[in-house]
Amino acid sequence: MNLTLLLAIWASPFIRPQPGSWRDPDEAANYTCTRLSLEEAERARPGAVRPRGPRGDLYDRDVMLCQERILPLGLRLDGDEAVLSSLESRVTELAGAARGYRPDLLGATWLVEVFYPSPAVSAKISFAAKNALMAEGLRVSDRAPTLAAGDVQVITRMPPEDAYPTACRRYADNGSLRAGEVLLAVVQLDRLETTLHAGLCAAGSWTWLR
Amino acid sequence: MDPYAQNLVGVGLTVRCFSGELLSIQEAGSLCSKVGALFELQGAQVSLVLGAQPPSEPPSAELRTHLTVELRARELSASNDPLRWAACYASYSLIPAMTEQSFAQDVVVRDADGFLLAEASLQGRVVRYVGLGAWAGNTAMNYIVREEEDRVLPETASEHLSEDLYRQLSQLVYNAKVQSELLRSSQAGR
Repeated sequence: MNLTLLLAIWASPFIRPQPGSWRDPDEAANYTCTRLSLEEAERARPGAVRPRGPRGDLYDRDVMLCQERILPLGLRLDGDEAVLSSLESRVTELAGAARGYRPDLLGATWLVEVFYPSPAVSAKISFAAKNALMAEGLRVSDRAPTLAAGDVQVITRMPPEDAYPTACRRYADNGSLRAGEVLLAVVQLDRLETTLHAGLCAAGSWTWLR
Repeated sequence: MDPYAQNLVGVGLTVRCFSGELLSIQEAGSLCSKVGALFELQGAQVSLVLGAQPPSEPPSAELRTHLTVELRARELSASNDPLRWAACYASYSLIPAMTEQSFAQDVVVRDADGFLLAEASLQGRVVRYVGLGAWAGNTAMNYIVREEEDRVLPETASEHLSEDLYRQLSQLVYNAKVQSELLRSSQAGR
């Protein structure tokens, strides 16, 4: 018993995922750890934690629950990583804001367009945003509104505060965004930021949500 | 983002630090001056405030963007297991003793009207090993296995923590700056 305890104490630097003598910082950074009380740990991982004895424990125990990242850090750009690592909560917040801001559009068909530098990340954001809108009980279409080549040439030369309202007007004018349809645009305004902004385009009128 | 680039040129920044259970007034002041120096390096005009006092100098009206960064620190957990210390003593410190502390740095960024632009709770955890076994193992790893830049020295943990905090703070304030500019252009368009 005592030998087991001593071995466990000696071996803990190998088991615990912090950087130190036996694990370098890059490897340790690939773990996300949360400290839990014994009761929380029993609920989170039933059967994995020895429950508290009927007369209590000899000493206070808590649990460090660690999860290794599926994709190690460094495989994606830091900015993309920051966006994707919390994508679900971000798009849920955006979808909630969109639904709350225009309750009159609950019966409309919602389209999603993403303006993000990386096409691969854009596709992920778009998929997640559509899922979040559907979770809000909204009707979502896979269709994307389009602009004529001339419109794109003009709009891409404008500053963002003018470009998005202009694009919204053109969507309505060219019939690409029809009556009964609303566009949720998810935008990264600045390459250095890790925030996703959102705007709504309905009937040719543009509103920034955040 | 690079915390040493000119990210915040033309921004007036008030850094407000609060003392509490984790930081004394002196430590909060020290944190404030280090964070203030970081943002000055990035081109911001910085004023430092301890607690809820008003800033000594009002922000310059010529600057387009005024932000206030509020920093509060709190301890999440700490452990210092007597059993491990007993094992350390009993084994002539071949078995390392260990202390552990988790803490959170709560950051809030507001605009000049007090509107919340960004907030985050940055969490850190420091684990310290004490004893001949840990020292010998670490030293052997430093000189046999690790490259020079990867060596774990006594100051390494605080350097990594500071670097990580500065990068994340810089990113948060930059995000708030873009958000503030978007809100301003959105209001002007109405």
